[in-house]
Amino acid sequence: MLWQLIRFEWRYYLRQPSFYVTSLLFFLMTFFAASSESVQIGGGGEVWGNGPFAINQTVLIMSIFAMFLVVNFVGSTALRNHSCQMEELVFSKPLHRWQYQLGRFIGAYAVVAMVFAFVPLGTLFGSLMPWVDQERFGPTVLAYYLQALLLFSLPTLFVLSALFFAIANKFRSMMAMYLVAVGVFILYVIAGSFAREPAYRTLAALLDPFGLRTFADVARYWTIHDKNSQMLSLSGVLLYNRLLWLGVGLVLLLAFGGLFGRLTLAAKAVGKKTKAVLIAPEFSLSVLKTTAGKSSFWQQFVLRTGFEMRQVFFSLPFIILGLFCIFNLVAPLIDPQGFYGTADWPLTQTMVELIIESTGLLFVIITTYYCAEVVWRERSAGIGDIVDSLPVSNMLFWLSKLTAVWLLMAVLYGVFMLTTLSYQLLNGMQTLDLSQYLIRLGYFQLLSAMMLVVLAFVIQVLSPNKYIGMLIFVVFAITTLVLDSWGFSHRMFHFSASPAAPFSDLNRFGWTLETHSWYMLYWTGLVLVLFVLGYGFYQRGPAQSLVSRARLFRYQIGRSGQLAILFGLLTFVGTGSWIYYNTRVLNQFVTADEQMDSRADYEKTLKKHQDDPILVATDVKATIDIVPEQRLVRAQVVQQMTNKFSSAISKMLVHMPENSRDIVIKVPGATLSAVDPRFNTAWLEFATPLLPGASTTVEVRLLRQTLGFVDSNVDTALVENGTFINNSELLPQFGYQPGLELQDRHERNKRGLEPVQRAYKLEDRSRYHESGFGRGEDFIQFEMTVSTAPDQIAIAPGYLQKDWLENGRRYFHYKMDQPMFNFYSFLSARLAVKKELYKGVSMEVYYHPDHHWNVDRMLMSLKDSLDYFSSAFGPYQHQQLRIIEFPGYRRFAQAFANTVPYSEHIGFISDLRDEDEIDMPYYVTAHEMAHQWWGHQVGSANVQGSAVIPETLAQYSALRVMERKYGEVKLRKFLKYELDRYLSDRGSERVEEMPLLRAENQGYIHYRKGSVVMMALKDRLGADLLDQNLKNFLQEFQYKQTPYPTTLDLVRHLKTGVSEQDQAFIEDLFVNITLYDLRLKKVLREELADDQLKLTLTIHAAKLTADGKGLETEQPLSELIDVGVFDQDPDDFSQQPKQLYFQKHLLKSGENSLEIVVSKEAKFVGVDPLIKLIDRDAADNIYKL
Amino acid sequence: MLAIKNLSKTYSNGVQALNNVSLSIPKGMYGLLGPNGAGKSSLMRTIATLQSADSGSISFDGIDVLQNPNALRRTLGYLPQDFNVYPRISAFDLLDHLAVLKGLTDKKSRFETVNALLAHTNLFQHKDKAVSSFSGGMRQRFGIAQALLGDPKLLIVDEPTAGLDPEERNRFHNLLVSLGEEKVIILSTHIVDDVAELCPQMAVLAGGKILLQGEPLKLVEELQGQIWSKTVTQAEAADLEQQLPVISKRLFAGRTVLNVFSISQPQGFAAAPAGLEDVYFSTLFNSRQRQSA
Repeated sequence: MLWQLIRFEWRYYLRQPSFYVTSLLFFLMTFFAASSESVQIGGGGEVWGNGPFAINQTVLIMSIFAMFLVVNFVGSTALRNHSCQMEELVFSKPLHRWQYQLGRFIGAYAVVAMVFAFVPLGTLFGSLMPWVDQERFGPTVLAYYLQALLLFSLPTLFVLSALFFAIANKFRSMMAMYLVAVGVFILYVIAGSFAREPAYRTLAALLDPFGLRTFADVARYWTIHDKNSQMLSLSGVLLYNRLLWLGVGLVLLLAFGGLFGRLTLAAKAVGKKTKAVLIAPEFSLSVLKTTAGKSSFWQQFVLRTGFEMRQVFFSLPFIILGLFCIFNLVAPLIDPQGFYGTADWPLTQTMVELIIESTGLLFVIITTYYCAEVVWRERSAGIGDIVDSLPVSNMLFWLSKLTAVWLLMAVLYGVFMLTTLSYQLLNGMQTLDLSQYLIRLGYFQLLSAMMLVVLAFVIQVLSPNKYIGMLIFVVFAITTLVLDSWGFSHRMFHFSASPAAPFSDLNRFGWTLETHSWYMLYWTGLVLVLFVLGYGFYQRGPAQSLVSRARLFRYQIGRSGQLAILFGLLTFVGTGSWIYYNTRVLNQFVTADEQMDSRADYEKTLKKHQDDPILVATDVKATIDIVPEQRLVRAQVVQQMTNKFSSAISKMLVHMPENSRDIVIKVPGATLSAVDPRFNTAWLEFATPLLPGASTTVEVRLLRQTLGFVDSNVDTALVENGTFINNSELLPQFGYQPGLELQDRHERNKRGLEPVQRAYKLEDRSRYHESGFGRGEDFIQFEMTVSTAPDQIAIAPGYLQKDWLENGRRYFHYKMDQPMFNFYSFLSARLAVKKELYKGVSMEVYYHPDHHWNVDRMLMSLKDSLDYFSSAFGPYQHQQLRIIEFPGYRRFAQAFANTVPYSEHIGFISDLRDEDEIDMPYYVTAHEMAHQWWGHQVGSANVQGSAVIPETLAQYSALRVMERKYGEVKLRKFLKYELDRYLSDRGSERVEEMPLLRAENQGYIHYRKGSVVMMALKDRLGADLLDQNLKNFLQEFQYKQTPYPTTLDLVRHLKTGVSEQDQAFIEDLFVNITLYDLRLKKVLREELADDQLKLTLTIHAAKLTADGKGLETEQPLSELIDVGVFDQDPDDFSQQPKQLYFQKHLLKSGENSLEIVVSKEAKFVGVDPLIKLIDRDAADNIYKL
Repeated sequence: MLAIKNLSKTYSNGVQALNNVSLSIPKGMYGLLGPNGAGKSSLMRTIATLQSADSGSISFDGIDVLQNPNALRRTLGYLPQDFNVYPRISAFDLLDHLAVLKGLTDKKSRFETVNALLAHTNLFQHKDKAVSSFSGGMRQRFGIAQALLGDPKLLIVDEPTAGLDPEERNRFHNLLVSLGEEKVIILSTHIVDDVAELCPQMAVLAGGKILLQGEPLKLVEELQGQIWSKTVTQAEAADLEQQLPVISKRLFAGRTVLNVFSISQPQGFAAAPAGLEDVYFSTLFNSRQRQSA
């Protein structure tokens, strides 16, 4: 009997379209994720798409979506008798209740498991497709798939099935189940924000029903090697988690699954108390003969639209979706996370982006699901025959249904906008940018979504039923995701799309409105045709084949419809041609693949010239005219250039700058060849070769401007308000550019290139005379005259000599009084200025007037930095330092001589009203200020580790300034981020992890690891000795070019005057990839007399070295390591935790036992609590008493 | 008024729903009788502009229905065989909604018409309840009410009395008769009594073909004297069916009553007065005979 019931469920679902649709959906999602590079769930980089990490990750993430699968299948099983009114038939059969219920449960669970099995199946099939890059996949190991399914999916699905089966039995309503599902989801997300906190990680890992956080905990610091080969062992937290949830599932099923007792009918809802019976008045028959008059389209339209909207609005799934979205929108607002955890002010641009991001999925669902519901509403409700035979035109149904969905979307955007507006007001934003909301949400988002709705409607109208229609639409949606990787990345191929439209508070909409409008006109043409097709083919009656509808097509659309099609086609083709002309004729359009091909060709063709001698500038005099309203720059740059190399220059490779025309390069005795369009390069040929040491004048004139508009690669450096162009973007570049070489191993391999050499060997002395910034970099004399619109300020390195107005334009003349690196830029924007003179240095911040919050902090940081750096390392070389805000199209800050351009997204908008946050503007400013020493006074040689000298030392300097202001304990929070980012980023390294000494421009090493390493050194050697050694290093190499220093020189200086043991420590930090594994495993607490506590600590300690792929080897450990005791959580600065005990103890490999006596206030104990060592997992270092 | 010529329709699964159907339907009530699956609903839907035909034509009052469906819809009232309604909408609201779509633009007269229709279909006291919660009979009455909206000149009712209790059925018949003089009303049914009571004209449709057309009174008249009846046991009935042209077999007080169509009196059978039911059954019987022959 039981078996028959199971089989019945099973066979029932095999006949349901929902079974096939959901299976296909799950399959396709992971299939595409595995087989295309544009959709990613698990792998990426060197992590194999079919390795255990990627498979587990995929299966786990999909299991969250599986909750809705369970609701659907288990719920409909449990409720089917009720909803199909079969209860009376079924319950009158001779059945045992437990058999009946259990049979149905097992059947439904089996179906859910079956559908979910398509997830790993999709990955498996995707990984085997012939077009995938084999390099991204390892060998196919079925055990990985099985393990993920058995360990995670099956138990998870069981708990979920039991939960929803119980709920269905209890409440007998689909609504209750969906509400619970959404509730579980929301709780899960909320719990997730706690789970990020290291203190709760283990708890979260234990309690996560899906196992996602359990896996995250187990695999947190897996290296690439681990990610590609590590099978999970069913032990520890993973084992307990699975056992716990299997138990919970069983209890739910036994206690609430309705297995016991007799089968009973659900009580019919008792009708409301009947009202007084209405007495029907008499109506004469003649009233019935009221004939229909001329119908009013408008009246019917309003009626239908309102009706359709109400039908959607008051439907349960919609309310759930809406709440879900608002939650999704509000959740990140409750605890906004920014750079290093520091939140930004709620700018309107951020709010708009938040709305777009957090509700994107909603609009996809609405378009997929509600378009189907709305189009098929009459058919599904069963009133189709009646409504379809009414004297109403197809147009009325079509237009009112469309309008209803359009309005729904508009209303949703309105609600979201009100939500974020209230948030902004509550958070003290004084300026609300309503026009930005309306234009970006309305004109950019909504319009595009509305067009997509028309497409979805037409698909539904032409499809034989709504499920096939939805499926076609989903396939369409997935296709748009992978179009790019098939070479169709031009937005003209992406229905209702326009090029990316970034927003900046400085430059507002910039070029985006014009470009967007052309694309929208283009798509409107097509949408008009679709619109007419839609009502022409609109289905009236249940069985009207497409052929028979086609016969009446002209009748239905009439003359106006035919005209509309014609007009639509003309618009589509007309604007299409115009867009084509602008984006592909006036401007070049290259897909990502084409660009990579061309760069590979470039390398193959020209790599042989990489060591050819080139001209290097020694003197630059530039005249720049910026015309902001035309986004135009006219440049004339006269450079004195020298052949610094040891052979004569007879010809030299020249790279033409982008977005520029009318380029003239005048060099006496040299001619410029024709430009090679493949690489945009030319050769400068000298009649008589230029001998080593010889100099010449190079004059460059050019015009930089984008003609018309482009589809991608917008020139964001040259904009109406906020132009910021540096010399390498502006001028032709000389010599082979290694920076153009492809980095990704797979992309190189596809194009027949060996793995890239990211840097020259550290020991390659021949590169010591080349700057790490490039071969052509040297010290120059600099002078620039720059003019701009009269309401803008233009800034370049050097000191302002003079500014004046002439011909309605504003001129600035800048001149540097000493040699500086050949690295300069010019900026122009409408900016407010705040200046302060401090110890003879003029500190200046140029900022967008709306972004005024942190200007004083930046000035404070400049002053503190100046104080510290000049006393620790030596004097500041300029009398001025300027910070200038530029538009957030690019997100970085960059230190030029006495000039630091700063993106609007960095620091200017940090919200620091909460004292607990890391002071980002203070830190970034100190870092950039430090580059005036590390980078501008000391360069580095063009070998491995070249970025370590400027960046690691700037990080160290900035952290010292931070430490002096905010204290050592607060720095822990910053270092924790640094360590965490280092450890997790090394897991996604694309080539090979290098030790710090040899870092090959790897940010996670020279910034993140660098911070931790330098602070560990400071702790070990003391700040005075370390600073003295750094000062000696600086003095040896100050303004030196022959040779430039390397990390070997740095380490040599660091080791000066330190003990042998500390020298070994420095080796560990710089030369090896060293990791510590410190765990505070147990603390025994014993109360002593006079308010003292005796703590017995058991500490596990180990030291490991790793190779470039993350394979670890244990090393003997015997080191003095901090042990600290605090009265408060050391992560919570608002509590101002006190150090009650802080002492170094000698720890050796293995278990260590310590006894310490502290005062009774002790609450937290930690080993290496301030994160001075690179610990594989810093979360288990702190123990709460 | 309504002329159907050579209408044929074969569904994509091969079922021939209509086979060269031609009918000429005057004003007044017209009964369309046929067993389940005869093609009645296909014919009704085709006339009601909800389905296309492979060949043939339909014209009503000068309107080419297949080519200009929108024009016909303006004068059409249609009650489909089975239907359901939008959820959670009260009878009044839904009827009012449909009235607007029918073109009852004026608010005041629409209000009156809707109330009157609800009153005449005996739904007035339920007008604020959701139609989706109605019992089968009530829902059927609602269907009748909506079909009558806007005083259509062509009223097509497909199985209208299914699920109605006898009282409601009578009420409905009366309503139809009193409204029916100036309209074409096509009543499709498998209940012979409905046609007998209401229709001056009728046709029998089976297997997609028209088997018989005419006035019920005349058709019954023609059959008089050729129907013979006998009450037998079940075992005897099976025996007799083999030998005689038994057109119908029904039960009366637990015994089987056989009706036989024959010029001469079969042995043991008594003469029985012919009714419309006998016309219907003999037509179907003859059609079956021809097919098997």
